[in-house]
Amino acid sequence: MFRTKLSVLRPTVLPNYRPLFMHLDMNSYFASVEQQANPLLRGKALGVCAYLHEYGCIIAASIEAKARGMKVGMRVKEARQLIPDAVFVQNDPAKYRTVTSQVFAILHDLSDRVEHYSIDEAFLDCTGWMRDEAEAAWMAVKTRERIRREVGEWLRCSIGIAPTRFLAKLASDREKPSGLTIITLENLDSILLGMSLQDVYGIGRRMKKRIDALGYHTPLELKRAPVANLMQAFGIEGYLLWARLNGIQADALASNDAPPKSIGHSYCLPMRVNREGRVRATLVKLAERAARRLRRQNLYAKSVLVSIAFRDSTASYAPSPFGPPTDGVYQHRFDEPVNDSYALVHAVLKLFDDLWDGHRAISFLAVTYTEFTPPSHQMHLCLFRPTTYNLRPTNSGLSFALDVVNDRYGDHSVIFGSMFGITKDEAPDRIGFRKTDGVDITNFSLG
Amino acid sequence: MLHFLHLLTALFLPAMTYEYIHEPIEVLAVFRKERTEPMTFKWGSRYYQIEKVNLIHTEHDGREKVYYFNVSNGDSSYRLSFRSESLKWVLEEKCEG
Repeated sequence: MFRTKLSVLRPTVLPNYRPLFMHLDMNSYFASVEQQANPLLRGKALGVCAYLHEYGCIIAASIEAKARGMKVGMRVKEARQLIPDAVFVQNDPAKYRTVTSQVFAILHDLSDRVEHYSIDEAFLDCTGWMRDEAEAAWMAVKTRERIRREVGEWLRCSIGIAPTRFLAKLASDREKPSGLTIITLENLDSILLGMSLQDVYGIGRRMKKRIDALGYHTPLELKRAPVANLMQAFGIEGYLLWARLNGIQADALASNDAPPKSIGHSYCLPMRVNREGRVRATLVKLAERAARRLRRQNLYAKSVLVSIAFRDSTASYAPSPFGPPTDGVYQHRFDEPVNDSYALVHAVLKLFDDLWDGHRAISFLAVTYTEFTPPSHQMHLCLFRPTTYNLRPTNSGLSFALDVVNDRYGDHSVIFGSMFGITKDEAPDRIGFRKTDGVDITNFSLG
Repeated sequence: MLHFLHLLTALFLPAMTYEYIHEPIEVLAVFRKERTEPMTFKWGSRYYQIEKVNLIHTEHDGREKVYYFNVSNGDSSYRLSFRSESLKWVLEEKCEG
């Protein structure tokens, strides 16, 4: 009741509240959730893998495993050599989405402005909800206790409190696990003093090199640098960097309703998929699954990208929109934005046929739809290209009908003929750290 | 193929025995004000007492919602599922340490 009143009064009666942001970061998230679900895994060096295979990648390590040197990104084989008694489990996206929904629902009790930043991180704008850092810290402790009591006693989180979004993130990164750090404009210099440039969120290896070249080697030096120097070197980004380090609010909380910039799926193919000739079927599954997400969000794509990597690749690391090194990325632009599976799958297969000779073993596939537009609902006359896929309303209707069937009876109840023979193990549901799809704070009540 | 995956899981849990079961079970559950908790289940001819519900999560299978209860009893941990349309309980997995 009190909070509702505050919400109404805040803009007029409480204008002088100091800006307060909170960042919550769940520690060793996927591993902690697995340990929460199965107490036999607690206290053990646990690696959560993308795939349970010697060459599968570790996507999360438990706090115990991290203490013994296991790192995210390691291969299972490598981690096992390092920690012979380590335990490995395959990731379970549904589990993590449910727990995230429960945690985020608790955070929404603290403020009306919560940014779901990733599957295990959230920003809160607590301005007006809490008087000062001390009250924010008290609420943070109570929130942590609620997470332990209502979601799971094995879940731990680091919390940062600061006058800006950027500094809140910097604060929560400072102490893991279970840290609580408050940054104010008064203690900011002492916090930055012990940090290196790459400890600062947003400064990677390349950026560090460029900053080093300017003669600034620590975050504190960067904070005290003349802003004009940074702007000359980095343009507006230079100003933003300087402002963030000086406690000036440069980043607003992102809306949770903002449409995505791209939708896609990728899969690292095991050798058996190549041997059994199911590469195209797997690609169609990726394309169709991404197309369903597109339609669920009522978006239309103007562009599709297909990326592949070969097993015998000798290509050196080349950045791609999908992260891992690839041997080719082909793009197709539609005349008109589309979201029906027929147009999208047709375009994806055409691009794929241009990239693949049909013989080389493939290790990685990715499909991405981009350049989204809302539907125009305009009819187009096809005087010159009557067979263009996206201009055939029957395809949209059929895609919609298939969605209804699959929503009712489960994914892949009705599939493309080209997906025939594919199993649930090929390109299964995956979870990305920056993805909050499927996280639903209105649906957290269980049992 | 799913069984193959779960066999692999067993290989990756060296100090424990893991079994993928997926068999129907009988369950005694309590419907509290705020949550539902399975208390005891019967698998085969044996009864298993549940000491603690560690985590509940959900998943949709078409229109049907599936509730997964990760429960434990001393040195054993189980994953039970309850399907909202068919109202059936299944013992999905068993892990012993």
